Amino acid sequence: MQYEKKIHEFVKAIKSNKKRQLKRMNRVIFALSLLVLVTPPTAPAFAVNIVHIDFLFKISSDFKEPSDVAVSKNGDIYVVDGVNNKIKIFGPNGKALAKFGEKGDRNGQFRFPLGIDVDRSGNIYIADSGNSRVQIFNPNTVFTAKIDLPAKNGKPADPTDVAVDRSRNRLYVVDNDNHRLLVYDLATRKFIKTIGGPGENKLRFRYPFLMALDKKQYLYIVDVINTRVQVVNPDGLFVMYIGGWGVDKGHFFRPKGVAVDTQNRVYVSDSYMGVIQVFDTFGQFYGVLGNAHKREVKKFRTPTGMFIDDHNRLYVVEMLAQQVSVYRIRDRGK
Amino acid sequence: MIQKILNLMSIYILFFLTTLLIPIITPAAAVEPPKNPNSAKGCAMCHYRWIDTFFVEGRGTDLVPYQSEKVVATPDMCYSCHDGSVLDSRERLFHGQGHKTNVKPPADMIVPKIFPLDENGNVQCATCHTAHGVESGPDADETIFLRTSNKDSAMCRKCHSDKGGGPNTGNHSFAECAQPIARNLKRLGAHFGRKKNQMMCESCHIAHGSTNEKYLIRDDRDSSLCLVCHVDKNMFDRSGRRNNNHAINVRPVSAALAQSLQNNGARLGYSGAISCQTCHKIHNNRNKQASLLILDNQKSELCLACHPDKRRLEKTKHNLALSAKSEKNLEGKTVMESGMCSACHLPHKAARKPFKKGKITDRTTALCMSCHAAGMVAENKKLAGYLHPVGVRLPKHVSGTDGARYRTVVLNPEGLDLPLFNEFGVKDKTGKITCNTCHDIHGETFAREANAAKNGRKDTADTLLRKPSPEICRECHANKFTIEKSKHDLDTVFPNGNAIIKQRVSRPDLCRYCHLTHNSEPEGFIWKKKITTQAGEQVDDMCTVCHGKNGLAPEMAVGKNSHPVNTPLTGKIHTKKLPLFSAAGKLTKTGIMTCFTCHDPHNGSPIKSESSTNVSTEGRPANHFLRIEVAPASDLCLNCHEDKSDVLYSDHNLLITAPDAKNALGRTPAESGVCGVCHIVHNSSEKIDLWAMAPGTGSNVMERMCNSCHSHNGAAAAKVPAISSHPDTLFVSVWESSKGEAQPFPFFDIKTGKVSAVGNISCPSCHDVHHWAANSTHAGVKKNIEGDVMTSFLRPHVPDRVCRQCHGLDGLFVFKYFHNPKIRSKKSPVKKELFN
Repeated sequence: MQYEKKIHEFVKAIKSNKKRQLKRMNRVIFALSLLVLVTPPTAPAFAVNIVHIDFLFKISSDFKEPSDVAVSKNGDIYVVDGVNNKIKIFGPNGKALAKFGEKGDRNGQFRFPLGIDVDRSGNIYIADSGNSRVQIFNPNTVFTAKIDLPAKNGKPADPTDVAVDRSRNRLYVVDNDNHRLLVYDLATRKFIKTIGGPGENKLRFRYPFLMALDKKQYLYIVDVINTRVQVVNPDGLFVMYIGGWGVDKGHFFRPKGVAVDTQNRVYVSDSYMGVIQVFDTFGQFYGVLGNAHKREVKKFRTPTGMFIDDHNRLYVVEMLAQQVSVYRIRDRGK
Repeated sequence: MIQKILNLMSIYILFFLTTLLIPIITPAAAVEPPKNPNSAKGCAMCHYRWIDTFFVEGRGTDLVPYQSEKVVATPDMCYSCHDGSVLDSRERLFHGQGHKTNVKPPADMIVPKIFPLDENGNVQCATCHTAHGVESGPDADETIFLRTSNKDSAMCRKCHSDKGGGPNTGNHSFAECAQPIARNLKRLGAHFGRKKNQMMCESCHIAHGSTNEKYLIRDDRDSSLCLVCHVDKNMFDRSGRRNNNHAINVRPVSAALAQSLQNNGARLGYSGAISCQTCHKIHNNRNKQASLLILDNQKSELCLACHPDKRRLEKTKHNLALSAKSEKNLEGKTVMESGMCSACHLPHKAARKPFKKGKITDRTTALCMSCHAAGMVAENKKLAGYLHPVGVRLPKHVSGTDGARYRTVVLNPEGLDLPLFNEFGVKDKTGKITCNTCHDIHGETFAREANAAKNGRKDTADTLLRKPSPEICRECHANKFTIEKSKHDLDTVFPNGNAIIKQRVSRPDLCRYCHLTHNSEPEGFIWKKKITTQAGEQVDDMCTVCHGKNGLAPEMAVGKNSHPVNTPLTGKIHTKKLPLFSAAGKLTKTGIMTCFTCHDPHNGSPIKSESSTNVSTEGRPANHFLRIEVAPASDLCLNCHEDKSDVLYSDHNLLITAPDAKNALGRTPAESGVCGVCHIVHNSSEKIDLWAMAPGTGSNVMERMCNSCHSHNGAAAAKVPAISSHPDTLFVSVWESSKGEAQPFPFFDIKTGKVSAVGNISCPSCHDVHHWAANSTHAGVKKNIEGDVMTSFLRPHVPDRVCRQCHGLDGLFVFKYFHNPKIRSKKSPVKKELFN
């Protein structure tokens, strides 16, 4: 843009036939030309570490803006098909197995659900956003319980994701509109405490969205407008930030989903940039998903919710592509 | 010189740089340069290209390429927050109808400069929205980042300026509604203006996420959006009852949407069904009336546009402009004020107060009667008395237990050429008979001219019939047309008969000689002539109009010694095949016997088929206008008098034992039947038992009746008893039966012949002339059979019950030899042997 501006001024000067100005401009252009010739090109593309993934298959099942995915212990894939108000279940190979739910506010009905978690027993937890509640279904998809979430200052709760910590008997719920986490007793479904509130500091959120638990039950929450991921330990204390504002590696523009692999590396999707970045255990940028052989960054279409199973299979919901794509993560780390 | 060289170098360098920079400059030149760029995160969150990496450092990254184009309000940028991560607008933005983007505004639309179009002149999200907008949503507490306030739809109307203003500008009202806004409309997400109950654009439309056409909050193809507020305009009320509104959501059958209306914007709903917008246009209506009708209907032109066949009404008296200019409908308007159709029809309310009286329950008839009744505008054509049934379905066949039909109407309802109507007044083959079944008051199918030309006469009664009479009757009553060319075809047999019997209508025809469809007196037969009778049972009097001394058939007048009528069947008498009637003439299973029980006045012969209408239907005397033949087997009589049927198996069946015998009418048993040879149904000379034979000799009437045959000149000359009279002594019967059974041994009044509790012994005291023996099942054998005490037509147990009461032990003897006085004498050797 600087070159452009100078050129405009130069042409303008020629037209006005202002010789003095022309002389000065000549010198500037001469200098600029030298600068162009001697300045090294922008840092070479793909100097970044590419975390290699192999495409396995994709699931397209008349989705309408799916948002999140979870995989059960036996490998069944659960997709939140939000605008269809359904939860769709697929086998480990992507074959459709079942679906349940419809639009409404009765038990077993949904109003634009967003987040999902499936515990090791196969129980299904749904963030039923439009109904301000969490619904729980048994492995046979039979409704078993619900938790109606409290409003804050008259603003209804907007649950966008759930995470189940069975080892500590905790159920975490993201309340997106009220910028907080709600913690419930998993067995009694009694409210325990609130974590965070609106703001930009530690444990302050601006539109927390999706989240994930690692094997040590650390919670990773995507803080969308703060463009970061916050990590919270099992006691609800702040651990660290991951990422920040920007479009460079390790930065986010619209972070949406988060997943943790078996090596405790953190994967964060950015729906606008269309990339999934990988961070190490300490929150440092590690790489970006792509084809390591071709040195290509993988561009996703609005990647949102993610899940990584015990076999290092990565499941990515691409909301506007109306699909879930499944990959094998080949990178074994440093 | 050096300066010139420098200048030339500069030009070359400039060319070189320009060539180098083309890939960068060209896209940048195609877009508008930033006006107030700010790389602060708060701005760059949407102004993606303002991020320092792009804007300041002018580079791309390992993750994304350099961004020079403006993408701040592209759909992808909007969706990056409206995907549920900040606000969940997935359904509204991704699905259904929404305000158009990526299109140019209509050529005639002036878009104010505050609503920027993109570089191609297309509408984009940013045209209406900006993150720097105002709290400007329909509701005060809602911020939707609009560029200007949209209170009372002010922003919408800046572009859509032709859609506001209310009816005066041909648009739906923007004013405050007189009635509260429907709750359901609010539930659908409608917004309202700042004033109470004020309508606005968002009361019906939604800019994003509509699943309906024109971004409506509810479908209007089936009028459901209109009906949320205008619920009183629905075709049905909540209980499912039909409202007085023009039909909607039904496909027009007898009408069609006129092209002229379509040109004005009239629309049909789903599958071509009528909707509110078939008649109303709520935006840009040229007809700027409050009702927003698509065409001015002051002269019913809107109605007639779709119902052009009804225009025939204009020249009839049903056009009140010709017959009753001052008559007003329930809106208080004359046809001169609101059009020809408005006299009877208003699109959203009843035009007339329906006439509800008596059995008139169907809407169509009630509407007709609202004029054609006493005190109403068409009082001179009022309908009184009894009418042809209306508001009823086609009756089923009424049959006897053996399947004999007493009443047959439409043999094939599918082939019926007259319309039936459902409860909504719509033609329906499974519907009911209404006035409109026979009458087409709009002259749709049987115009006045056609009828007049065909019949060569002017009779306004026919002008609105769907078919000429009597053909219109044949549609349902084809089975009655066996009357044609019979003696009951009075229009043919007695061309001047109408004057003789003083019928009330000047021009009779096959049916109308006897029947009136309107204003009749007896209900069951819609009989033409007013009937008065002292008995109040007028059915038979209908027959005597002709079959009386002053009637058309005086020679067949019914005299006093005739079979009883107007009486219920009692005792052992019951009917299997013949119909009974109510006093008013209606078919009923428990009614009375009338002339029509035995006679079918429409059918000269019971063996004629219903289709043989082109040949004379005259039958024989044995079956003339009778439902069942009376000869030779007398099946007609025995239908009711089944207890007398044993006579067929006795010597009293003269068909066998005396085929040459003749009754008083000179008819043999073959001609008059087994019963008819002894009994004459009409005009017998003998009142008792309507005896048909010339009486014989005897001390009382019963003896004389028996001796008609049992005399030396009679048919039973071989069976003439030496004595047949019991001494003239009065006896008192002590018989009592709790079941109402007849006396097993009846005494008689010898003067009247009636059974009496105090009377004389006569022939029928001992003999039951219809039963040869208790279980006789053989017919007569044409020879004289000598009976015994178990046969001989004797009643059972006579000696025990009667004779011994007076004669003691001698009773059996006097009984056995009652007809043989020589044996009963004291000198009789038989008696001596028995009693000495």
